[in-house]
Amino acid sequence: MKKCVLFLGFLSLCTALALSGSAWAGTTGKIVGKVLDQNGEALPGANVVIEGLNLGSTADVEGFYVILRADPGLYTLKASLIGYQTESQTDVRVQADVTTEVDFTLQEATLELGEMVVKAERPPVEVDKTFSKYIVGADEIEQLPIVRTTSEMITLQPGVHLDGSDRMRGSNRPGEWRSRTGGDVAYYVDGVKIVNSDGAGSHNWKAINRSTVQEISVVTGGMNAEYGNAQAGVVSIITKDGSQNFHGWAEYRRTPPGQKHWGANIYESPMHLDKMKWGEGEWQNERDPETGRLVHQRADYDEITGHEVEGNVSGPLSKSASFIVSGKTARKAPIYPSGTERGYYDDIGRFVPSLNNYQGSYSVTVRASENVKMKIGGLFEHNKKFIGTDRDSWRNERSAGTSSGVIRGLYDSGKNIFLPEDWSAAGKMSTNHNMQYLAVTHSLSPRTFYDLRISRYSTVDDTSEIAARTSDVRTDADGWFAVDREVRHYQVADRKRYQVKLDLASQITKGHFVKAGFEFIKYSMFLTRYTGESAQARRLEFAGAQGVIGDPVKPQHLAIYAQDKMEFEGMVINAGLRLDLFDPVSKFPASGAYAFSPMYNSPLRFQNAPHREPVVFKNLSPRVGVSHPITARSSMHYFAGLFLAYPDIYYLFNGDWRTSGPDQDWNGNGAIDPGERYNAMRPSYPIRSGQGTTEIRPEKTVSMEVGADWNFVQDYTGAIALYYKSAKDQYHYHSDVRFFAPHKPGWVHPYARILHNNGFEEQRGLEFSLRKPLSHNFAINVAYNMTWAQAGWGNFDAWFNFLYPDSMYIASGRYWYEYRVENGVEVPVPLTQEQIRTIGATANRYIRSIARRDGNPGGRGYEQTRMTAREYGLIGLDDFELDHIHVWARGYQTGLNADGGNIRNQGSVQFLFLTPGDYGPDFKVFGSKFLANWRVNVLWRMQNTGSFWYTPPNSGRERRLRPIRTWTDFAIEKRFPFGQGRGDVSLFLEVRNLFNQKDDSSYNTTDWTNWGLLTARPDNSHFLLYGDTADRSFYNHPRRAEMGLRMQF
Amino acid sequence: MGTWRVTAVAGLLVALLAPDSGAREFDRIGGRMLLGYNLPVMGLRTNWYTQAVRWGGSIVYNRNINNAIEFEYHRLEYNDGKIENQTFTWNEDSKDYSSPESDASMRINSVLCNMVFRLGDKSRLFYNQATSPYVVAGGGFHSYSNRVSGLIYPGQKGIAVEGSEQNMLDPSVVLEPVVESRWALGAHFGFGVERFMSNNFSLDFRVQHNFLVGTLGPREAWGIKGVMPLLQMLDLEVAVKFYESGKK
Repeated sequence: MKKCVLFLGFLSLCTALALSGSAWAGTTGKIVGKVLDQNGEALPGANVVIEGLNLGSTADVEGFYVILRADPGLYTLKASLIGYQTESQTDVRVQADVTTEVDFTLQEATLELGEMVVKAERPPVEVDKTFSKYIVGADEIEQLPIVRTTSEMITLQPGVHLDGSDRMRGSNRPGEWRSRTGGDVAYYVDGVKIVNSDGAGSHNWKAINRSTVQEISVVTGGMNAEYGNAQAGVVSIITKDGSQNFHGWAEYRRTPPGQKHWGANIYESPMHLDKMKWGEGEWQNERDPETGRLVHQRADYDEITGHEVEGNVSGPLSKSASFIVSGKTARKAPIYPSGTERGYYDDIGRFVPSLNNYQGSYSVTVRASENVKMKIGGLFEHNKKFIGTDRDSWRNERSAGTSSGVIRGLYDSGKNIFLPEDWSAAGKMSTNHNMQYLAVTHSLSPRTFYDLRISRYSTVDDTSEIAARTSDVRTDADGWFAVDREVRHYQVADRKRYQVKLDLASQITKGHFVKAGFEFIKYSMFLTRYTGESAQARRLEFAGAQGVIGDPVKPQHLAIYAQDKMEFEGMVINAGLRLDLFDPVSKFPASGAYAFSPMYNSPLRFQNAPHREPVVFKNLSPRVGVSHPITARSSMHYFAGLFLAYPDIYYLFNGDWRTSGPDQDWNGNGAIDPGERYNAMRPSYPIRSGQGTTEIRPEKTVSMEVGADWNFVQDYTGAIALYYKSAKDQYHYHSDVRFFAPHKPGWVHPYARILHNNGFEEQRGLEFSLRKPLSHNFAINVAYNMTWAQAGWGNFDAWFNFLYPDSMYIASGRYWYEYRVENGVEVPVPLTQEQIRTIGATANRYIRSIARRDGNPGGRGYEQTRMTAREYGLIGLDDFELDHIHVWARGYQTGLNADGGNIRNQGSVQFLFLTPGDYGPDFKVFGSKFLANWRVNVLWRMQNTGSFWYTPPNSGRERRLRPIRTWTDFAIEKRFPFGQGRGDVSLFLEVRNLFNQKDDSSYNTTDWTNWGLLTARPDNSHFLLYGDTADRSFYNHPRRAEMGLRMQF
Repeated sequence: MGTWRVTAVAGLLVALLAPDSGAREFDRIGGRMLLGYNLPVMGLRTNWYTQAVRWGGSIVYNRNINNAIEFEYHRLEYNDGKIENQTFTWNEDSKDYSSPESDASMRINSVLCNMVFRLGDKSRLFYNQATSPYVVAGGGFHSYSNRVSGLIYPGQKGIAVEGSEQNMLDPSVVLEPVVESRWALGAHFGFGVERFMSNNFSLDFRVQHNFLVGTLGPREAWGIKGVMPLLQMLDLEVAVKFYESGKK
């Protein structure tokens, strides 16, 4: 009842706000200020306009004006009134979701005077910032060309993990084993969410060419109510609009040949011990008897030149319409021998063995009138790559294949190193990302507008060149190195998301900027992955509606929110409330344990197991932030909020089945027909077998922070934030369910692992940044984040559940353990009376043997309870099953465990130095002064590489930190302007890992702690014989130079 | 040597490209030769080293009467590794052993940029007998290399002794030398006073605290803890400064 009242109240609030004409979106900024005369008196009626944007406002009786829906960028603002000299302020910076304050003082003029032009001062601190937020503009992206991808630029912001793992402040990765969500960070492009919560925890796609980015806004300390299904933060990327003049930008970069890893050439590396026999004719000339191919052929992987091209062009289509198109493709060498000679590195630096790859974007912007702006745009990426057999394994050069004889690489102690080029036993997979969107911004009045966004985003995986069967692993004559073979493997996935988002915003009064809206996402997804692990063993993983392969599940998610930014003199309060309604739509199994019952233990049989209607999640999440200035150059902010995340749809519906036998030809036609396919599959044990439970809830994080910004000298601004995050109800697989089959007494019954909300985590930390924008020819950005308190995960109120049928259930005809085939279809074999009697007796004996100790502790952190399914509250069973399936629930909990992968310290420093265009003596090269227009970038990064348990000799075990890793990149560029400033050409040189820093990644942490050892022990026989077999295992790659050409007009 | 080449080229370019930063009352270049006493603090002192002599020099560029930029190189070397005198307990006989051949040293070469902000009355600056207190802050890269060698391997099983069930430690089984090296980013701040002995010659006394982002691994078998992520040290230094010319 209480929830219902809250819900109605929320709806009423939203309706009221909507009727009052409020609106909002996170892609535009606001400019406010006062227009006064030289005596400080208000000038009502003064006009303030943004040049080039057709946006403006009129000052009210207090001289106050407000301009809404200004796109991010640098503008000139002009204020005018008859009888006064017009004043322009240049370089006014507008940022999304930020209020920019620009005041004018107009001079009275009886005569027509020229315009007074002043350069706007950048505000020392953003006094309306109520949570930690970092904004990078197009100019800053342009000044840091050494950062090549949008993703890398995001990682340089304080609080964002430098490894590109979509984490902030110690949050979880997408699909991480202790949090099966689509990730804790939400990504938006032009206000459209890049939905990732349906891809089996795949990396969040955000391959947006950096040259088209107008602004990146990274929020690590809290989120407005507009953003949801994320527990850590939000990244909003706003792309450039086309311009009214033709502009172009292009970049080519070349990577010279050379070895890109430490240690010896991989074909000479001690990792192979005595397995490589170069110089031995028989070994070197060995041919595969099946194919006649030379078995031991070296790939000249370090003699390959890499190329990468990126560009964009924009221009007018008409007076009111413009376009921008961008594209990028690469042919780069892998670090180690791979499935292809060349491929590309994805947006977070992982090699993809794909010659056929491109990504890009396009948009058309139409300013239909002063009040209406429309943008039709899209993003796309295509690649076709050779793959291994495990999901994403092709991404990691060291583990590519994850099975012997699948794809060339270092997996399996380097046994795959001689596999052919441009080949994979598992075939090729193409992946296509496509997003299209329409964004409409319409001003209803000078102080009210709405944003409407309609989008479609699809991700399609499909496999080609699929082998007919999986053959046994083949090796060379020595029985060591793998030789090519066949592996039957395929993956088909079709994920579509349709979104509608409506945001309404209004400056209701001078102090209230109210926004409200809704976001609706309709999913349609299925994923099927089949792997012939060996000639006998096969595995099937899939997500489909009610267990039907290829039948998409279609959940839907509606979010309604309202936010009021109250801007008072001396204080800003930013309060919001969000309501999420997530409807899985497709049915769930009543319990994952049925997959292990003798009645429903194959993919086809499981479709007939008891299912239940899904529960619709309804959750409220309030957020509030406060900021206030301390002095003219400093401010503080405080934030607290609740954030929710729903399970990745794949993990909500997936199943995992395996077999070591062939499928059965039921109809005897000599072939496995579609209806017979997978009929030999049985549930995986103990592999996780998803399926949400009846009581599953969204993950929750309460996040709090206190922060301060201080412009301490000139344009140097520091920011510091202390934060605490408590995550509850995190998804875990540690609770297991089993079905006890009484016809097999004494048999160890396997269990299914299903999602439960019993994980919890904590993070406490400090975040620091120092920013000095470009002035006096240089700029500095420093970012640092430290988690100083123990952080990690634990289990609270976790349960093992065991299902026991009783004798009545056995006698009811619902229990059988054999099938027979009739007319090409399998049908259950009913139990005989004797079987009913004996199995029923066993079943009751089982149940009686379970202690019924309601709530009594059964050991450390344990309690155990026996009850009927009805008492337990299992949903989806009929009345009979509710009374005759008994549940034995065993509870347990654990303390907070430190997380081994936790990064406790990380930071970066960016340094930019440039020389002005007229600097130096008049010695010119290609029309440009030699010392003019140079740009130098230095980018330094640091993180500690995790933690580990260590037990000192005379005390209990302790958590210790692994050493730090650091790496420094350097770039130098000379720009040659042409056409009187209409464009320029640049030559650049970039050096990765400038100082050739080696930081070990493979060592025994105990030996390191005890003895400082980073290699094998001195009495290790392999070490004594061959040297360090891990001589290539370092975090950073050796120093590598690239050069190229950049041009813009 | 490769890193030096890169640094030298980068430093030369930065120096060559240093732009004119606008109007100024002072525009003079000077040189500074420094000699200092370096005192490790915190974990670096507790576990590793106690002192070193630091020497180096810098080019001083007075941007105006209020502040100056220094491009500095300096070098120091610790040779008094605490681990050289530590013992470890061998698990096989629970006795303590030292490693007589052990040696620990750490060399640091630093390339820095300092900003000097002059305080107090500046009217007599660059005149004989003038005194100028100042604060200094800066940053740069420190190339450090910490080498530990000659440590007997405590994890060994030892060698069999005839007639005894108890093995004997083999002192010839030593750990491979471990070298931890890094170009560490560092920052420092401090204060000092400059006393002009003539119009273009001065003595400069300075105290500054240094932070280096780096790691020294632990050797807990010898009771040595690791240091991470900051190596900290204090400098007490005296320098002589020469300026290109007298007051303009």
